Amino acid sequence: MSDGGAMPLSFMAPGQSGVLAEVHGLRHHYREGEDIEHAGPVKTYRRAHMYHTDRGHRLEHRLKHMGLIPGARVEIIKNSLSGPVIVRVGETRLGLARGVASRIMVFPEAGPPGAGG
Amino acid sequence: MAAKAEKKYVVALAGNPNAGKTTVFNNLTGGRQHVGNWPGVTVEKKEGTSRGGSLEFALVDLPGTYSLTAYSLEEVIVRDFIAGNKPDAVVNVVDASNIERNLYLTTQLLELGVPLIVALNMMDVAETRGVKIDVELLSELLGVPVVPVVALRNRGTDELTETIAHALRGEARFRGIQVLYGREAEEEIAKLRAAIESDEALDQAFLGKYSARWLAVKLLEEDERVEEDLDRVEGPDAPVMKQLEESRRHLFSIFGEDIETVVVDNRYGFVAGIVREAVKREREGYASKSDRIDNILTNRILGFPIFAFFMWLMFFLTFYLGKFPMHWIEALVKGFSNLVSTNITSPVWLHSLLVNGVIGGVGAVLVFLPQIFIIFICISILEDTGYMARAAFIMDRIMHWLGLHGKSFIPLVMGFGCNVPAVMATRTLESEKDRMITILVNPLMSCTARLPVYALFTAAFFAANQGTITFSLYLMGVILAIAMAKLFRKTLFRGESEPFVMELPPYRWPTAKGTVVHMWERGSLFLRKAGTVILAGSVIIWLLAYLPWGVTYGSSASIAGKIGHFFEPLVKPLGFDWRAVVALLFGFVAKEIVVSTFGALLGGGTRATITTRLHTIFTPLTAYTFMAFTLLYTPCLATVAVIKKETGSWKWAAFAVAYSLVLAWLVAFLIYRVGLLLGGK
Repeated sequence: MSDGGAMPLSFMAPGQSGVLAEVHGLRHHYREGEDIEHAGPVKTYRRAHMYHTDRGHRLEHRLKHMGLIPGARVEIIKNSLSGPVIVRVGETRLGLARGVASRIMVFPEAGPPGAGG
Repeated sequence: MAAKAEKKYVVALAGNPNAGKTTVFNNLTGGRQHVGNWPGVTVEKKEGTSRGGSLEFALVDLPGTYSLTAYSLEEVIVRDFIAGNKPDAVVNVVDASNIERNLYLTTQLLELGVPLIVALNMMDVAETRGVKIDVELLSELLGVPVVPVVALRNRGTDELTETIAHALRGEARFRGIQVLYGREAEEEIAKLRAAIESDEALDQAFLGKYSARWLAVKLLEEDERVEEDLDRVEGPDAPVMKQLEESRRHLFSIFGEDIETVVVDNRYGFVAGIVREAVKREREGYASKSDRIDNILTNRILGFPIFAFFMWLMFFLTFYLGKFPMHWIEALVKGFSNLVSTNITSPVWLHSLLVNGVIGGVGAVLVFLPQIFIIFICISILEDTGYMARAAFIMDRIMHWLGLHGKSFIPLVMGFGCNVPAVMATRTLESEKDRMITILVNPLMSCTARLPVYALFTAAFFAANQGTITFSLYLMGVILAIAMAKLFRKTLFRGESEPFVMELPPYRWPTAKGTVVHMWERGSLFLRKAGTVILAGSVIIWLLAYLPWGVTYGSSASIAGKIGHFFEPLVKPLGFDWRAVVALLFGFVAKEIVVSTFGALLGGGTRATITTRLHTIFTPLTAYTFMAFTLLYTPCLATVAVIKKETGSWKWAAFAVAYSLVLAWLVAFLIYRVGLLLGGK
């Protein structure tokens, strides 16, 4: 997949902003070949639930409901190269674990690119 | 008030966390409220009454949520209440300074089809940030009344109650605006709707709670709760199931991603459209004061020392400041005891019951109310300012290393206050495993109820370094909590802890009223406990120590003495005698009762007399061992009950009791034996 210049949010410097491209590596749902099984009748719903409640999916979901959707403008408030990152989405400040931030791909807008990491 | 027998109106309050819902609630109800739990779960439920003009209505504060999915219990509570109880109106508190994110919930409330009123809170903050909101237009676009308020300054409350009254009388306009999900999705929604509407079993099961459209959307979203309900009602070959399967497959082939994403995107699209029209921003990317404060408070180098300082300050205030009112209450209890002693001398049993049982028991515990209230004030301030979220942020890495989550930290700190609300506070943890571990180790955090025990014993045996000894016990609790957390993570709840994602609300000055209300909500539980459980416990202990008729009070011939002797062999290796057994046994009800039991068993009276008599049954070494045992052994009855409720099974509650008993015995044994080897007595 080409991200055309998108970079992980965890590599961006404080003050830098950008537009969220996508969240990587969290989707466990509807991978190729799995969709038929997932969309199957009752009993396989149960299995779908297991996917549903898996970490990746739930995390992605939480990010979405807190406003981190593709196309959203984000700005790094705090990033000190280790430990969690603070990011602004709209007027919300979110604290994100570094592992999460490194999966969020962003098209940087302005400022010096990638101040470390 | 002569209330007419009219229809009782119910208004619910919904909104995002940190949108100011609680403040709006307090403004509307004047702070008078009833705090209880939602049926079956221990998410806090607040109710109060308010009036708009001549109309009185009950106000229910729903849990704060970002959304109405089935992902968290709070969200399910909100939508079940709105759909099931059909409140006459729902007030949606919206943070005007963060309007996009807040309106996301609004769209979902609109979809539920209830009469909605938007209370646009924090208009002042929005203005200072250069956000201009056309309230009229916003109301037009959402199709519901919008009332601007500044809850912290109690502005706009009258307009809000007026609007609510309007809505209750059916005079407000609700245009029933719906989010549309695009042509392809809408086609499938229509088909599903038709299938649902023509299905009688479904009609029965949902009995007008939810609209067919709402159910259709939720099914496409793969909402777990709705799917489960459907599973129960329908067979696999029902037309609805077939249609659902077909629709999902069809939409997946078009969008190439799950439909949930399509639904979420469309809701945000709807919100974005409204915001574009009704909200003007003078500047974007406003570096707020909060961000500047965060630069210091969450700083990589400064963050932790600052945090440690706040924690230290909290305990310093609790123990240092708390001492003064403690002395006053102590004097009061003593005076009261003397008064009763001299005036009620006959019959003898009544005198004994009042002085030894009631005053000795309840009084011994009441003394600690100031400390309990101070620690809750501190916790309230930490929460209300927004610092608690930063503490979780700062602690995340350490907590992660311990096998916990940054958010586990808040319940653990609250555990220093009381384990009951602390166990409830674990609700904020998304992962079930993180939550279970946090719940199970929480009772090891030394709550204020254990403080009376330390205070009594350190005063009696370690008068010179009371502070150090008490601190060592707190530390022991924390270290063991960490060790047990690691152990549980490695054995019972394997796997990684959930990655940290948390909203950091803007810093705010806490209001005196808000802090006091919060403190009172939690602290008053102790007062109630003193008046009920502890009073009853004290009387029962008195009875057991007084009966059979004629024996010396609290002697080994009494029932209490017999029970104590029976279990004595179990604690003999720890250096305790039968009186300790009785105290610990009753301490299970509430740990403060350990103190009141000694108060009652040793003949009550002043602390000085209890202290001297304690020396007859404890040495400094066994006293310390006993304190450690009291710290660790079994969560109190209230905590066990709340663990049962929160984990949904007696199994875990029993496990919490069992593991802590074993842990307490082992640790106490170790302390006592090592102490003996080192020449202690």
